Amino acid sequence: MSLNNFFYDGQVRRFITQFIRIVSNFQVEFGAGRDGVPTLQRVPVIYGDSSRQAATIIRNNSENFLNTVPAMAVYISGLQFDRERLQNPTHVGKMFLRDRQKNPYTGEYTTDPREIITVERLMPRPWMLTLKLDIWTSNTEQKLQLIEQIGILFAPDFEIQSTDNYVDWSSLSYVLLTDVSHSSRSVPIGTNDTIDIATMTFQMPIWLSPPARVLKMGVIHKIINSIYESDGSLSSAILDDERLLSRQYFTPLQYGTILLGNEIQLVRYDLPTNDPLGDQIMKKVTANSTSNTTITMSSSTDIQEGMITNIGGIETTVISVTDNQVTLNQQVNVSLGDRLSFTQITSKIGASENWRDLINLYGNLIAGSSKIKFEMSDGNEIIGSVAYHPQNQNVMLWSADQDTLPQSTLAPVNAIINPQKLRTGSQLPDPTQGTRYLLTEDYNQTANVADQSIYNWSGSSGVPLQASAGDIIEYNGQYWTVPFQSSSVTSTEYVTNLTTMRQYRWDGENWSKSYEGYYEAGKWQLIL
Amino acid sequence: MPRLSMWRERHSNDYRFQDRRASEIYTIGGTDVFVHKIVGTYSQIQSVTISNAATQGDTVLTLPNVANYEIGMTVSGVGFAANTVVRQVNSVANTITITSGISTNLDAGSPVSVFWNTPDRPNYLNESERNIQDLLFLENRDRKYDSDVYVLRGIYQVSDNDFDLQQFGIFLSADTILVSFHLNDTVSKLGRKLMSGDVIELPHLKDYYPLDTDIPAALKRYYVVQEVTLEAQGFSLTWFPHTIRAKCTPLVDAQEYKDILNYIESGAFHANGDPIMVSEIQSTRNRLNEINDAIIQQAQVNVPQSGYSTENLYKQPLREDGFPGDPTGTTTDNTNVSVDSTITQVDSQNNTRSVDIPGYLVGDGKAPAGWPVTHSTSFPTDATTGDFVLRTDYVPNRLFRFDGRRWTKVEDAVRSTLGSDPTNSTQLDNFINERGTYRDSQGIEQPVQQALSKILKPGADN
Repeated sequence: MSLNNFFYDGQVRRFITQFIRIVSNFQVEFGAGRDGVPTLQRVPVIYGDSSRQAATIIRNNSENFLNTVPAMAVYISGLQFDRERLQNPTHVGKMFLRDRQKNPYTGEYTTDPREIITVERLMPRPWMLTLKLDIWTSNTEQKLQLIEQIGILFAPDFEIQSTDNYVDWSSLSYVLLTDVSHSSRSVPIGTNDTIDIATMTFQMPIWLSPPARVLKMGVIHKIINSIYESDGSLSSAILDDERLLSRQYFTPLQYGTILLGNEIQLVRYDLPTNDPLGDQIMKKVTANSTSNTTITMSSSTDIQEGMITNIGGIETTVISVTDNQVTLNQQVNVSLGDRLSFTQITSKIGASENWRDLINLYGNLIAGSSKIKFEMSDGNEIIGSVAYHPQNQNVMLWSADQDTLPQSTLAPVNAIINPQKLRTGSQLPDPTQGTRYLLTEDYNQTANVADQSIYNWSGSSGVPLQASAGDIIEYNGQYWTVPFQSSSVTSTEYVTNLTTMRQYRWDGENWSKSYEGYYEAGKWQLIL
Repeated sequence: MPRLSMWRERHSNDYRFQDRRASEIYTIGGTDVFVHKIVGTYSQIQSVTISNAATQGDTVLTLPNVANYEIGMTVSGVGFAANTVVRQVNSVANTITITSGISTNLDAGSPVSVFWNTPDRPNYLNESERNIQDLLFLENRDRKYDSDVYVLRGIYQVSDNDFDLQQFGIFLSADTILVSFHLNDTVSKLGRKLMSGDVIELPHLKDYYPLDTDIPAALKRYYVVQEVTLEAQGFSLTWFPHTIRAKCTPLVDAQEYKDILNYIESGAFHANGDPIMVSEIQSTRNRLNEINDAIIQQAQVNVPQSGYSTENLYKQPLREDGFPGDPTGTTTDNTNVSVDSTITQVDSQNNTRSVDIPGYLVGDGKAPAGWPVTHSTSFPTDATTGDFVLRTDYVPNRLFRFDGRRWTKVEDAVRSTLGSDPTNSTQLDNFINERGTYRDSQGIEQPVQQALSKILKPGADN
C-alpha cells in the first residue's frame, strides 16, 4: 500500500518535548562565593542527539567557548514496536463532537455551537519509547542534588500527556523509571579525567495513531441494527440491501415528525399520535357570524377537536365542540347556509417540541440549505429544504423539492367523504359535472336500503349508486359513475383532494396519504 | 683527585647554572600563561551585623533578616561562647534567641556568624589551599581564586584538535594538553607549585572570530590544571628537576570556577555601565537555557494543563427530563426567540443544565459554553436559576450550578497547570513547590515546606 497523502503528526516528538519539560527547571545550589550568599543555578536540559552543525552554533564556532555544567541531555535510546500491547488493529472508535463558535472580532468562544463532526479514529499502534537522561555534573554534591529532586517524581512512573486534545486517545502515557546509572566513571578513576555523567533510563509505552477521519455529520443517523445474514458475512449484510433479513431503525432521542403541508413538527417517542386518512365532515352553517370564533352548525356530529376547516382562505382549527356550537382558534366570517368541511389531520397529544433544541444537538441549520428527507412507506424518499419558522420554534418550514414528490395520476377529487353520512344538496353542495368524491365507506343498495334512500346517491338509469369504500365517484351531470373502482385497480395511483390540497396514494389495496402525515423515528433524516 | 660526579646532595652551582639556562629557555621560547591561583574555598558561614546593641548576658539578638535561620544553627563571633546555637527564631521581630548569653557588650553593627555546624563540611577559619570543603565526598566546590593573575612562561606541544560531538555539545577530543613550566620560576611567582585546581589562560589562543560577531570581546582559552608532576625532560645532569609538567584540560563553566568566570571582565559593558563578565559571553549556559525555554514553551502549548480540554466543546443544554434544552440560554420567561435574533449572553442566563462530557481530568471549573462563574467560598443568597459558583474553599475547587432549588455539583476543577507554574495544584507539586507559611503559637512565621530531617528537631533547653 502506498501512501498518497503525506502524514506526520510529530507524535514521538511531542512525547519527547513533554519529557524534557518534566526534567526541566531543576536547580542546583552553589555555596556562598565572593558575595557571601549561596546561589541557585538552573540546569538546562537539551536533546542529546544534536547535529554537529547545531552544536557548533551553540558553541559559537569557537574552541574557546565553555561548556556549561551541570547540564542534562535527553535522547532516544530505543523505539520498538510493543506487540504485547497490540489491540484489535481494525477497531474504529467514533466520536461525535461539536465545538463552540468563535467571535470573529474578539477571537473568543461564544455560547453558540458550530456544526457537529464525526471523528473516526483507527486503533493506534503500540510502541515502546526508551529515553535516557544524562546528567552531567561537576561534583558529587551537585549530582545528588539533582537525583534527589528528579528521583522523587517517579514512583516508579510519572503520568505524561502529549496533547490535551479531548479526541486524542493516544496522548496519555506514563514515564517509567527503569534504570539509574550513577556514574559513567569507574572507581578508581585512574588517569583519565572524563566528565562524570549519571544516566537515568525511562520507558514510555506510547501509541502512534494513524490519521483520523473527520467528517461533517450531516444526518440524524438511521442506525441499522439487528442484521443477520445467512452466510455469516456481516459486511455484506450491511452493504447489500437484498440480504438484509431484518432491519431496525433508531433515531437519536427517538423523535418522530409530522409533515403537514409545508410544516413539520417534532413528536417525542412517548407522545401518542393520531394519523387518520383525512376524510371530510361536511356541515352547514345555520347562523350568520362575523368576526367570531364560535359558529353554529346544523349538527356537530363527528366534528372533533383538532379538526381543521378552511373558511375564506383561512385555515382554522377546532378548539371545542358544544352542542352545535363549534369554537375555532381564529375569528371567521360565515353566513347562513355556508357549507364547511372539517378534516381530521395528523396530530399528537402533548407538549410542543422545540426544533432548535434538537437541531443544536447535531449542528447548525442553514435556512434553505439544510434539508429533511422522509422515507415513504413504499421506500421512496421525498426531500425538501428547511428553515426555522419565524414565529413558531415548534414548527419547521419545509419547502419540497417538487421533483421528489409523487405526481397525481388521477383527476383530483373534491373531497373524501363517507357516502352514508353526507349527501349532496345538504351537507355537500349540489354536484356539477365533474364533481368527484373519494369514498371512505361502501354505498351499496343491499347494504343499507334505508340510508340509501336518505342520501340518494343515484347511479345510471335512476338506480341507486353502487360503490365501495376506496372508489372514486364522479357526477357526469345526470348521475354518479364510478370511474375508479378500487377493487379492480392494482397499480399505484395518486390523487389530490381539492378541499385540503393533500395528495393520496392508492397502493392496490388501500388509500393513504401519499407523503404527508406521521413519520416515526428512523423514517426521516436531517441533513444540515 | 676527587672522583668526578655531577651529583650533589644540595643544589650546587652546577644546578643553579643549569636552572638559569632552563629558565631562559622558557623565557625565550615559552608563551605567556596567565595563572588563576586557587587559594582555598569560600567559607559558607553567613556573617551579618546585629541591628541593635546588646548587653552582656543578653540572649536575644536583633538581626537584619532571620528568614533563612533555623533552630540549631551555630552562632559565633566575638563575645559568644563555644557551641552557642540558635534556640528560637522570630521572623516577625527579626530576632534570634541563643542558648548562651553573650559575654560582652556588643554595639549595633557588630559582626556575628550564623551557620550550620557540619563536621563533614567544616567551616575553616583560615584560608588555605590545603582545606577540603567536603570531607565526605572529598571535593572543593566553592573554590576561591586569587584575584591577582600570575604570569608564567610555559611550553607545550600544539596539536591538532577534533571536535567530539557529545550529548552536551561538542568537546575538543584531544582536549588534554601538557604544559611545561620552569619549576623555580613557578614557585617564586606563585609561592608554590602549580596544583590541581589552578586555572590557566593561554593568551595566544584567543579567538577573535566567534560566530556571534556581537560578542564584545575576544574569547579566551582556559584550562584547568588536573595534575602536576616533575617532567622527565626537565632533569639535568645534576639529577635535580628544573621543570614541571601540568596536565590541563579545558575549563568548563562549572560551580568550581565561578570565582574566575563571574569576576573576569570581558572588557565590554552593559548598557547600565556594569562590566560584562566572561561567564556571560563565553559559556553555553545562556544559550542552552534559551533552548530549554523554547522546548518548555512548546510543551506548554501542547499541554497547557493536565487532562483534557473541553472548553472549546459545545455542551448541549438539557432539560430536566433529559431532552435537549434551550441552547440560547434565555430565561424561562423568554421562550419565543426569533430565528434571526443574535443570541448574546449579556442579558440571558443559562437556565438548563448541560450534558457532561466524560473524560479523564476534564473538569476545569469553567461553566459550559463560557457562562460566567463567580468564584467564592460561599454560595450567594440571591442566586437565580443557572448561576454558577466555583467554590474555592473546596480542594479541588468545585463548580456548582443553582437549579432554582439547590446548588448542584457540576464538576471538580481537577485540571492543573504543569511544571513550575505557581498555580500548579497537583499533589506532587503541592509538596515540592510549596511556598506557603504558617504562624505558630508564638507568632513566628514558619515555612510549610520543610525537610523531614529537620521537622521538630529537638533544641536546647537553655
